[in-house]
Amino acid sequence: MTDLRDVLDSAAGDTASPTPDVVAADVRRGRRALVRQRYARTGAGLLLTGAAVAAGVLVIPQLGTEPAQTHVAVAVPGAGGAGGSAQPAAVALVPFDQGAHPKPISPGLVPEGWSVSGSEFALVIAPAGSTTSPDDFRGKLVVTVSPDQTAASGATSIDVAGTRGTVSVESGTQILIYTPDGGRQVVVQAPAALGWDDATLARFGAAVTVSADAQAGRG
Amino acid sequence: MDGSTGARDEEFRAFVVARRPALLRMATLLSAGDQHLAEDLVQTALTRLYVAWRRVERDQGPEAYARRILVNAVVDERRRAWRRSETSRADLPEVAAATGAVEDRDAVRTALAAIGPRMRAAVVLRHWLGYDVAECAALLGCSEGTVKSQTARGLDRLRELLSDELTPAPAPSVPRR
Repeated sequence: MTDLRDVLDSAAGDTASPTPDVVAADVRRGRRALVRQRYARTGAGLLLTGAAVAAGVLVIPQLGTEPAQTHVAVAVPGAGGAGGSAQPAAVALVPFDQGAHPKPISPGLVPEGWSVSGSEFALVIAPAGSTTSPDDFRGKLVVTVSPDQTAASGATSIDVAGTRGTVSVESGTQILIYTPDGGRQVVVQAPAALGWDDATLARFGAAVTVSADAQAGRG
Repeated sequence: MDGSTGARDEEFRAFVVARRPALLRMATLLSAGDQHLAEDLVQTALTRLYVAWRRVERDQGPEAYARRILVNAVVDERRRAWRRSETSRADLPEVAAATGAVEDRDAVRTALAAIGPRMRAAVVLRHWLGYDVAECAALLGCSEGTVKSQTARGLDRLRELLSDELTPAPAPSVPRR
């Protein structure tokens, strides 16, 4: 006579405690899924807005990297501004200092006064004072690598750093899709609050750098 | 990473360290000893758990949620991408009967593979994790009568396959395994 539970317990096998690598991989998969879920909920794209602010200090919490890190980048006022192509109320673009450790998806220009965070899945740029999670893309400028994203019908063609891209507007949000030379397709989502015209959006996109570490933001 | 994400990571990481082995053992039984499938199931469950962490914490608790995902993945054929690699058998294979070695892990796993995923899940939930009939029914999405018949038939088959007088143990008190 054999106790069934003992039989099953034996069949379940012995499992050791997970190694730090296994745990980290579980966390990484979860984060990736969470970003994808948020991304799917809010639509593809990035949001650039800008209310012109003088010299600003941007607090940059890094999303999706381990361990958590925070660093500060300074947006240089004046240089690289939106120029004449932007509408009067548009937020100005300013150069962004990546520091010694650029993110997998890094901006060359940012809306003045906006906070920058990012992970290997998405670059997220939020308006000053934003208190929502970096995983929440609503009202933010977001850049992802999205090979499966297709342009909406009625999208217009635009030049992005010498390559052809498309710009469309969905629910008031600008969607820029382009593929840098030799790179993967990039999608930028910019909220209407930025007041950007297509040319400003293209300038922002042209300054984005995507490293080999960047991963597709949509599965 | 903001505060909420950091807290989620910290809590989730602690859960994984503490409970991943138990989930992997459960998945091993549900997959009838297929270690690769068990690992896939656990990874899937933990990924979904991370996404739903805040809601799950408020509701049923992380372990119950993860277990539910494991069971659903096994018994819901629409989600069973691996189903082609697993075959249900009407006839019973010759396994441990030849040696009578009930304790033999491989023999037990082979016997589990022969009883089909839903029946296997019922047996595991009822006789290894110690769920009561109502809990099993809720988790499996069936009636309590179905749970009783599935576990009874599953037990009979295991007895046949293993040529042993298997005795169900009394349900343990929670936490289980």
